[in-house]
Amino acid sequence: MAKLGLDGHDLGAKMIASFLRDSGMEVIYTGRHQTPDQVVAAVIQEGADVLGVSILSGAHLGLVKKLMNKMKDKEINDCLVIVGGLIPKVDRPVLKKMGVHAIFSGGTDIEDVVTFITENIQR
Amino acid sequence: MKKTTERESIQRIREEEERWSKENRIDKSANYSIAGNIEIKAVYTPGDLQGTDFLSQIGFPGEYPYTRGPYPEMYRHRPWQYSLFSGFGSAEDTQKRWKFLWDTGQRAFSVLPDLPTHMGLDSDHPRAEDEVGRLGLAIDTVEDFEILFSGLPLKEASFSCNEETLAAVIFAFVWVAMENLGMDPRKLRGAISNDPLAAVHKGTTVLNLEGGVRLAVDLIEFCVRNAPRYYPINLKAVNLREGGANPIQEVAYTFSNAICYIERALERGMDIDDFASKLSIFFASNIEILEEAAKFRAARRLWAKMMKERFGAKTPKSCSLRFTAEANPNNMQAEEPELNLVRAACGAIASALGGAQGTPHPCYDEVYSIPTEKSHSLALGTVQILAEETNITRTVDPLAGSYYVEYLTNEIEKRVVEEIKKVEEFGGAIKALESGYISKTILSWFLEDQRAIQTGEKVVVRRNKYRLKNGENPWDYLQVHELDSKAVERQIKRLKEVRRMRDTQKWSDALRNLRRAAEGSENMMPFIIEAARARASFGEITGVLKEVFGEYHDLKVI
Repeated sequence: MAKLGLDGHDLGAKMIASFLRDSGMEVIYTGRHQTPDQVVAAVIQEGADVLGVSILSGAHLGLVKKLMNKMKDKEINDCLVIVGGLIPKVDRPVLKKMGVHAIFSGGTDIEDVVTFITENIQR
Repeated sequence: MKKTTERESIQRIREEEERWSKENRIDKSANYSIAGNIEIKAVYTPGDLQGTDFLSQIGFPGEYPYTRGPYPEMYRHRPWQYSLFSGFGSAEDTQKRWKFLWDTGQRAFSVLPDLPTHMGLDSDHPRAEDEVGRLGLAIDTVEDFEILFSGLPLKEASFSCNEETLAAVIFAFVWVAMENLGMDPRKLRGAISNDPLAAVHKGTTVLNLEGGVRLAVDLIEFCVRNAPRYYPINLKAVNLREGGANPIQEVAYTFSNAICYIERALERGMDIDDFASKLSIFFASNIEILEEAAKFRAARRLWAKMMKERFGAKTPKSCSLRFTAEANPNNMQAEEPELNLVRAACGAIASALGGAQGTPHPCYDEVYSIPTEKSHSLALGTVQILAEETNITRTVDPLAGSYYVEYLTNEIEKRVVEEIKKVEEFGGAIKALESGYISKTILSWFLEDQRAIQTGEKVVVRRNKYRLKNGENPWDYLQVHELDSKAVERQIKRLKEVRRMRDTQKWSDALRNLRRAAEGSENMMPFIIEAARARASFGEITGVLKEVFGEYHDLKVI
């Protein structure tokens, strides 16, 4: 679970991290203010199966693009990428095209997140 | 006939309450508890207020212990100040919105900086890309404030700013811009957050906490001497609340932060009565109207006692707490966002019943976007209706004497005192923050609260109950604010132009002098102002402070 960019609002990220942990997953939270490079390094170091990125600042298009490019550079193909936060409807297909697997926003039932992860995990 | 004593009469009331409970089969096992696990009974009586002395604990507004308000007549002649903040794009964009709010009756100019500014990064810094002017105003040099203030009636209004860690740098920019525009900064009114300890909860703590606190106290000292009408610290209690805290944690940790700043100011030889009246708080008001109103009354009483008994304040002004209170933005929901108008209004009612001096007010669509002119108008109109149509302003502290509200006021005060003690056991606010205690305590409350929403035990209309079956997606019909990419280009171009045109010698001298002051123990404000005059940028000045004090590293509490 990562907070990408300068946005410090991480209640949502902490909440999801905690609830996923309750459902039996091992969750590592990077903390706030992560750059795309830092997030990708954390994915590699932890051998993460899933990367959850939380962005509420509206800067998701630019930041996620940099993140996905970095993932490609490092040839990470088997990590499920989920974006959470404040994502306008029109931006969702754009993020999907960049390679994001799922987008969840505020009010999402935690069970839906758990189901998505267990059904789609790639390794 | 024998005259009954108070004790006998209370005894009789309690017996009657017992009888009434039995006869009506009041279910005492029903656990209706509010934040901090205060249990709520079906009814309250004088029996719940035994020992509460009217004159010494409730009293009259404008008099110690100020439970009922800092001023004798409160809103009877003038309502609280409408103080919505705004900030986006570059100075030109924000000024346009300020003018709209002015034309709609607001007499306070209040700004929110963008994320790069909060973090002390210039607009052309690589990490600022994608974030410039997006959620707030981009601020790089004095010139931004010259444009922002140009042509505004600052004499008739106040200027406030939501900046916690780098408030001193903002204030220096404001100071120089006003001088350059022929305005007198010494007469400036308004307030600035200047609360680096509360920034921890928002994720905008730039400097190591000790350095941040020193900078904050430098600004307090500077304003007390040079800008006596300005509130140089507006403790950001709302950050705690937006960070998940309950009302008891909100007040307790905000007071702990205040104690830290006050002690540092006293260590410098300042007199408590020289600055206590310049401390103010920016609280949140949750949707739970009565609990929040009681919280404000408890906070005012405890503040008065703390100032008098702990810090030996002598003047009445030092003991009376003034605060603004914003309906908690965390109460805003994504589902059917128009309902947030109602939620926010509930918070504002609590602020009014609790005696706030100002009401920033959230916009109904803020889950989706920063405010448009329309949503700002609805927010401003809401507090204007409350203040000028409902008559709740006609008498002071209308909830006083309610057995329930007075009980709650006592209970909240008691629990806040207990929580402040816990912080003191760590050695005060900085140590308690660094140990992770405060963040962990808040998070554990927040997760408990969220679990109650997930299970449906706590109702959030349209989110976990009464859901719309075929509701429209708000993204399809809401007019959301769009970032203007031209504003970003304009901002970066202006910054580069300032860097190109400035006197390099003056600039490097000013930054060197600032570094020396920061390494020593002098008040840094005159040096930051000098650097601002030499057109040093926000990021350059912050860069010096970061190098001297070290950067803050976020604690991982989960």
